[in-house]
Amino acid sequence: MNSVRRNPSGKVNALVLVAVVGVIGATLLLTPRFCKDPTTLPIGQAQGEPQSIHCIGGVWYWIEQPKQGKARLVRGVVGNIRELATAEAITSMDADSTNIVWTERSQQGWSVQVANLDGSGSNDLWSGKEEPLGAKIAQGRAYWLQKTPAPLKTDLPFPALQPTLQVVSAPLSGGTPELGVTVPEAETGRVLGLHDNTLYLLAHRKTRPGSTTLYRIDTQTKAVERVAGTSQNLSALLTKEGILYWMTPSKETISPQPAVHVYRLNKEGKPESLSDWLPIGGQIYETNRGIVYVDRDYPTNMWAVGAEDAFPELIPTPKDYNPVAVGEGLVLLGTNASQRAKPALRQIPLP
Amino acid sequence: MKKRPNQQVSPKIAAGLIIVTLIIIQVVWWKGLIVREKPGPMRGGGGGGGGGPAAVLLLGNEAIRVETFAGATEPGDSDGAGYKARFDSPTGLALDSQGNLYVADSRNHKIKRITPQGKTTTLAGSGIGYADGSAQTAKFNLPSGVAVTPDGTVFVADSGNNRIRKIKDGQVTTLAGSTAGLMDGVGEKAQFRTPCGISYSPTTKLLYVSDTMNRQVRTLDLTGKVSGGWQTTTHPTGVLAGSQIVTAVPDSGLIVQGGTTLSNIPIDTQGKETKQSDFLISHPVALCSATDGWFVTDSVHHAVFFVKSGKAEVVAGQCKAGGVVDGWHDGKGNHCTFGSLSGVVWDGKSRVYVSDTSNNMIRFLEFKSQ
Repeated sequence: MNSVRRNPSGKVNALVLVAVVGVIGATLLLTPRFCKDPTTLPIGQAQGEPQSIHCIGGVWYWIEQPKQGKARLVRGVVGNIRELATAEAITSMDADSTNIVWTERSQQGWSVQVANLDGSGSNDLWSGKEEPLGAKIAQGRAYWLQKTPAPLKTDLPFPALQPTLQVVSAPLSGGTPELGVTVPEAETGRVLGLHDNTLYLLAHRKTRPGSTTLYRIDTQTKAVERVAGTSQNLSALLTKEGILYWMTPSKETISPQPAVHVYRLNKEGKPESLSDWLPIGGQIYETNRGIVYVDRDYPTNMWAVGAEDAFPELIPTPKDYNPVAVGEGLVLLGTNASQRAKPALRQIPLP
Repeated sequence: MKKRPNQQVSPKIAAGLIIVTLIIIQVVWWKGLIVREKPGPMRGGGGGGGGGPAAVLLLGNEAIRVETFAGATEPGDSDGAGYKARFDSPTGLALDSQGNLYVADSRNHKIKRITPQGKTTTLAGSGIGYADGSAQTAKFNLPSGVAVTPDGTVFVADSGNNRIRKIKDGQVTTLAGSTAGLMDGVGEKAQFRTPCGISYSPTTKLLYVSDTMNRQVRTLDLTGKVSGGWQTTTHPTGVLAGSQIVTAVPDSGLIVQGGTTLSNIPIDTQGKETKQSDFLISHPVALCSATDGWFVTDSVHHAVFFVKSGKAEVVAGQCKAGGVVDGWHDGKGNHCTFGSLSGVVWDGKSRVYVSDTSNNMIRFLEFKSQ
């Protein structure tokens, strides 16, 4: 029979080992907190994933639609998040230097609301049973889309038998909404903006793999022109100078598309190819350093949109912070990408 | 020293292994042959369709290959070869005797022509509106259906304009119709309400129109005289003028042939358990003939069916017990996926063309024929 030699110091060694492992583990867990960039400024804790984010005069506005409970429209500045409105659902929002408009559903039905930027003086611009889509402020009016009823209740593939999207607008000061032109789109969309008597719209068709169409409408002649189309439901932006940017699946990838390509409509009205290979699922924003794309990877990153055939330029963010949105000269950060649904928000100047 | 095991295999074992391997290869090859050559559960026949020579098709969806013929998933408006062409919600289809395919490119408000080699050109249309004139300046409004006569004249169900238009020798004219309504008569005295389907019968030399929002099938001759028709239960979209007039009525789930009405046609699930109500041709939107049946598209199943004797067989698309899958994927009939389908036409030989409306493309099903 073999004899077992006992090591009298074995227990001590085990305790030391556990202690060392514990210290290393705790250090690893805590280090990111110590490393967080002190230049970031805290805004507050979101109650849901921020959506439709705008930055106006250094103040953030966004919609939160938690899985349970009411949706809320909020404004955030350093050290404070304040609720401007709540509803069963808030589906779109836009703001300019004096007003904020949003589309909401309450027990009474759907409505388009307008208020001052601090939330005071809210007013119904329109109310009804059908959902208003994609509200936008332009030249003193609120614009949105309204689905016209389909001739048939049954959903059929013939566009002639499908609903259309109609442009509706109303003065921000109130008044009878004005019905505008219709576009031959049946599902959903939003108004991108108005520039030089040209209104730009985006429409999504959802049957997989989905598609996106971009229209411009001459507000004088009422002529409707489709300016671009792409597969998948992707985003677009009209800048203050009236330049249209949009995304398509990357030119160099195959389905399923992991990357997107950014285009813009140049002054001659022709599509101009810009950055490719941006991670899919993000948004493009207008900032004071140009067009910036914020992706939805894990963790998220932001990229400067540049010239064709140049790889997108990564804009650095402080370690352990994830860009959520950009606007003007600021970056809205979330502190933990795994808590995208309820991020603790901070901000930094756009590098 | 440890003795190395003997690594040599005895000749008997080697011979046995070779024999077993050969048997396995033979079985796999034989099984593959069975799969490849196995005729499907139903056969379509010649005649009808584009009027080509008779052919017998193997309909088992293992024997079918689905390919994209023209267009890409992104909506657009471009002529060109194959995938370089762009459509926006193509719907009705028709074939001429040379094998050219005519497409109602609905959201582009144009009629396109695709050669048998796959090159797309614009036949007529210049944007939304209503204007007769040269093919380059004429305007349509959400055209949904096309038909072509043996002399190559193309007729269009111009749904948004409530008219039947004619394209011949580079000129677009209005054959019949004016504002929305229901009226027989000649030319602009006749009225339609959102006509979506049109088909020409070489036998009667008449055009048959699915006058969708009037819930009627209307007949008109080639001079534009609209006279008669018949009521349908709800809103017909597809119409097929063969030896009898067959109509697809999607919102009642009906296919009507002469005096016979087929409703909620069961889809053969090949014995697999499923909820019965999920497996019916519930929204047939378009159909084309084969000798002893029809190819049918259904707006909710994202699949192409062969309907015969009151039963439907899936010939292409992911529509089987357990669910329906939409998307865009070419491949074997039972592996491919479609978006929302509308127009369908058979070339009388080995191809069935379909409008994959939500994918903005024209695709074909290539059958093995005997």
